[in-house]
Amino acid sequence: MTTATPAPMLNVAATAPIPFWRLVLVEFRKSYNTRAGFWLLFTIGLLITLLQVVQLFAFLAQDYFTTFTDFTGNVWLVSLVLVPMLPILLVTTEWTQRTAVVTFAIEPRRVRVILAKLAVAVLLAIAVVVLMLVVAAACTLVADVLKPDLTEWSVDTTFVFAGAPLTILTTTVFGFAVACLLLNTPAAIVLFLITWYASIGIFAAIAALIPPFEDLLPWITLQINVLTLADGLPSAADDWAHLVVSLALWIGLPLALGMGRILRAEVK
Amino acid sequence: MISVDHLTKTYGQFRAVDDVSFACQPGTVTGFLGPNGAGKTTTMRVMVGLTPATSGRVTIGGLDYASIPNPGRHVGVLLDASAQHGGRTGREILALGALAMGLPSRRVEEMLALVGLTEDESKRRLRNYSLGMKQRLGIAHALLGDPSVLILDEPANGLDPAGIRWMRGLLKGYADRGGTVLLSSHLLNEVELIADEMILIGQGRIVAQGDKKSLLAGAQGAATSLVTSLDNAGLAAALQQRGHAVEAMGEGLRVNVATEEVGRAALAAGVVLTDLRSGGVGLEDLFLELTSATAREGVHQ
Repeated sequence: MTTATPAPMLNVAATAPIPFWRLVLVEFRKSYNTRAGFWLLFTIGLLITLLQVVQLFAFLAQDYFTTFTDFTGNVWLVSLVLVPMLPILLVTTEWTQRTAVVTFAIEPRRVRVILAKLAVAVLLAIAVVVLMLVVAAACTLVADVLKPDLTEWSVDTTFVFAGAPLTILTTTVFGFAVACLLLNTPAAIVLFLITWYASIGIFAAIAALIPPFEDLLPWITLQINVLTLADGLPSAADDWAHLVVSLALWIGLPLALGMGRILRAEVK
Repeated sequence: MISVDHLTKTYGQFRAVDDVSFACQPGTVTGFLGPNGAGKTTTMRVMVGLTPATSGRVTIGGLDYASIPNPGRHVGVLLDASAQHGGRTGREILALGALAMGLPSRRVEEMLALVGLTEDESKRRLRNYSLGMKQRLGIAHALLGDPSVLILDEPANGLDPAGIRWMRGLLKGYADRGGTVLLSSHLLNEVELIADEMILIGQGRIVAQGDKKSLLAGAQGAATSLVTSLDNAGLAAALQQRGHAVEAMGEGLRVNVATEEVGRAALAAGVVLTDLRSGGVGLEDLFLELTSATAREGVHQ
C-alpha cells in the first residue's frame, strides 16, 4: 500500500455474526405479525379443530363405528394444502412488499435468511401435525366416554408418527420451493394448487391421447407419490425411485432455480 | 471509511454507474448529488450488496458489506423508506430489526423518541404513514444498531422544512461524534448546508467532487457579470465581438466573463455603464451547469 493516509478500518472483531436461531426467531415473528399471516395461522388452527369437532358431533348424532384414525384422516387431507400456504406467504411477501431490501441489508448472506424461513415453515408444519393429533385424541376421548361401544382408538402409529408428518412436511417444502421460484404470492398459490390437484387430471388426459405417456405418470405425478408416504417410507425399490424422481422434479428443480435467482438477483 | 473504487454497473447497453470512484471519511458528511436517474441509488445499492457490481468494488471500513458480521451494528442503511410491509406497525418494524441485530427492546423506544414518532404514531400501520413519517421511521431503523457509518438515499424526501432542519442537525451531530455519513439528494439546498464534501454525479459519471469552496473555485472559468448601460444593444454587440456569450437579463445583460473585461469593452465602445457587478456562481448554478448536459429534459434551458 502506498496511500499516504491509510483508509479507516471498521473494527468488527467484537461483533458476532447473527446466529441462525435469531434469524429463525425473526422469521417466526414475521409469520404472524401481519394480518394475512395472523389470519392464515388462525384459520389453519380453527379449521383443524372445527373439522374434527363437526365430525365428532356427526358421530354422536348417528350410530356408526369411529376410530382415532377417522378423526385425523379428513383433516390431514386439508392440512396437506393449507399448511404450504405458510411458506408461500413467508417467502413471497418479502418481494411483493419489497421488505427484502431491508431483510438482506440486515443479513446479506441471503441463503441463511431463506433457510430460516424454511425452518419456520417446518416448525409450523410440525406444530400443525401435533395440533391435529391432540384434537383427534380429545375428540376420540369424548367419543369413547359417550359411546364406548362404538369407539375404538386403534391408533395407526405409522400414520401418526411417519405418514402424517412426512406428507405434510413434503407439501410444505413443495410450497416453499414454488414460492422461491416465483416470488409472487398469487402465482405461487396457483402453481401449487394446479400441481397438486389438476396435474393428475391433465396428465391423465395427455396419457389418453399419447398412450406411452402413461408409463411416465408414476415418475412425474407429485400427489400420488406424496400420498403413498402416508403409509410410511416406501419399501420397494420402484416406489423409492418414483418418489425421488417426482420430488426432484417438483421440489428440487424449482428450489434450485429459485435459490439461484434469490441469491444472485438484484433486490429491488 | 466508505471507499468506492472504479465502480461500474451496466444493464445491457445502459451504463447506470460508469467508473465511479470516491471515498467518505469518518467525521464528515458526504453529499451525493445528482438529478433523478443519475446513478446515486444504484451506487448505494451496490454498497450494501443488494445490486451486484459489473466491475469495480466498494468497501466499507476495508470490508465487503457481506463480510461485515451483523452489518446493522456497523452500517445504518436507508435505501427506500417505503420498502417495508404496509401491514406492520412502525414499532413492529423496528422491533423486527432490533431482534435480528440482537438489540434490547428499549432501543426501539429510544429510536422512536429520537426521530419524533409519538407512541400513537408508532402503533399505526405503515400504509397509513405519510412519506415524512416513513422517512423518520427509516432513519430510526438505520440508527437502530448504533452504527458508525450511515448510508441514506434521499432521506429528506417527503420531510417538511422543519423535518429537514431536524435531520440536518441529527446528521451533523452524528458526524461530529466521528460517524461517517453518505447521503444522496437531487436537491442541492438539502445538502449544501451540512455536507463537508460533495460528489456531483450525472448519467452515471462523477462530474465534480470536493468541498463547497473548491467546487466553486473550480468553476471560476464560468464567472459571470451583470451589467446595465445606457446602450445595452451596443454593449452586447461589442461584447459579442470580443467573443463573449451575452444574454438579456432583467433591465441589463448577463455576460459570461469577469467584470473587468466588461468594463474594458464598455470603455472601448464608449458606452456609459450604470451598473456593473459580479454575477458570481452559486452552487446551484454550478450544479445545474455540471449536470445539465446529462440531466433529463425539462432541466435544459
